[in-house]
Amino acid sequence: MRKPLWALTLAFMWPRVVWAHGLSAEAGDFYAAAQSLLTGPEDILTWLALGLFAGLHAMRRAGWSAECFAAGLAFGLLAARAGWLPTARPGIDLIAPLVCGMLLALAVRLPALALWAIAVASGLVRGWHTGMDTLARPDGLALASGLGLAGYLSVLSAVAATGWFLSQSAGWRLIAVRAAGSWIAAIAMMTGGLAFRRLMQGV
Amino acid sequence: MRKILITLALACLATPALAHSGGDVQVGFTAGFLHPLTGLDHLVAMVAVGLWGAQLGKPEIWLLPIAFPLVMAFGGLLGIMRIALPLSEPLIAASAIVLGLVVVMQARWPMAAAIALVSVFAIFHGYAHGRELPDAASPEAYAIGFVMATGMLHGVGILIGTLQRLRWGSYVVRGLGFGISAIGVVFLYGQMIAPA
Repeated sequence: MRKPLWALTLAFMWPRVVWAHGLSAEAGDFYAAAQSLLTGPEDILTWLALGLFAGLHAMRRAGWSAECFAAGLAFGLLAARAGWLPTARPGIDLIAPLVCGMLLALAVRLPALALWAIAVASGLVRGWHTGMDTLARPDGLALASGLGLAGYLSVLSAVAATGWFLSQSAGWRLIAVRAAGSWIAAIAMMTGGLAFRRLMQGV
Repeated sequence: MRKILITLALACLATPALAHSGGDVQVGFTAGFLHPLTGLDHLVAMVAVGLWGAQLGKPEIWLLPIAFPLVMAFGGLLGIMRIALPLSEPLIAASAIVLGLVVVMQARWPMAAAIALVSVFAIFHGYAHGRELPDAASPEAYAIGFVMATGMLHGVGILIGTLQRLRWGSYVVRGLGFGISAIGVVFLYGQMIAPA
């Protein structure tokens, strides 16, 4: 058992030429949108907060929050590109992680409909911001697909990880998840304050 | 144990990666992370919160670090908005004195009272940080670093506080509390007496 493991480790460490980004040009918008959700701090904060909070609930209703988030993302992006929404103001996208972080810190469990509404709203605002940032890109449908899929997988992973983490017996686990919620809310509050100050200063 | 040692040895062998070595996010995160670590009065007070939490035991050991970042962020918000909050610096020094003293005395306060005391001081600590916040290149990364460093300081306090399970450990923890109070006195002296 050990020898194959060592061989595998060495194989992974062996330096070699990598043909990265060998994708077709048409796939560019799809991957750009997906990547934006997985690399921007405010994007990560949004889906992480929602995923952790949803993971606090029963798995059946928590899982649907991933679909709701993805639908909100795609619709928000397309609506922003279609001009149905006004210009996104910095800081508004931090309301969702702030609310989710606070609810998580307080260990509040919501009815299914309220949880799904929060998921849709979180996605909508995030998609709106991404849509405004990607107006110059040509393929809105590819952007919406990439963003929606990345959002679905991100939230689903966070929900599953939180559910598994909380299903273990140790009593400190819920406290650890609540502490994470407190941190997320604190980060969102401070970042929102900075964004608001910049807005006031006209930066 | 052997696995942990091997992992640690491998981690030590890791060479620095030079990819993605710049950017707003990294600069913002580093600045935010270092901010609570570079002010001694803030640092000792946050460690004292962890020490006291460890002395109080469950559930305060966990609730204090949950309450502190939230209330501190609220204080930070006041500072960012430039809302006047008088006597913030003397009260930060006083927080080190008081929190150090409760550690020395191993004070067994009710949960609500302990959270209230820590929260009041957290507002002033957050306020001072909020006032000093630069226009970070990436505010999100700055805030993430800042909150993580604060949580880490609480964690260090809790970790040191677990020493009291040992026979001589409570003396070490109480000694640290005394040191924290002494640092608070020095800062308060600097704030109140020296300028006069």
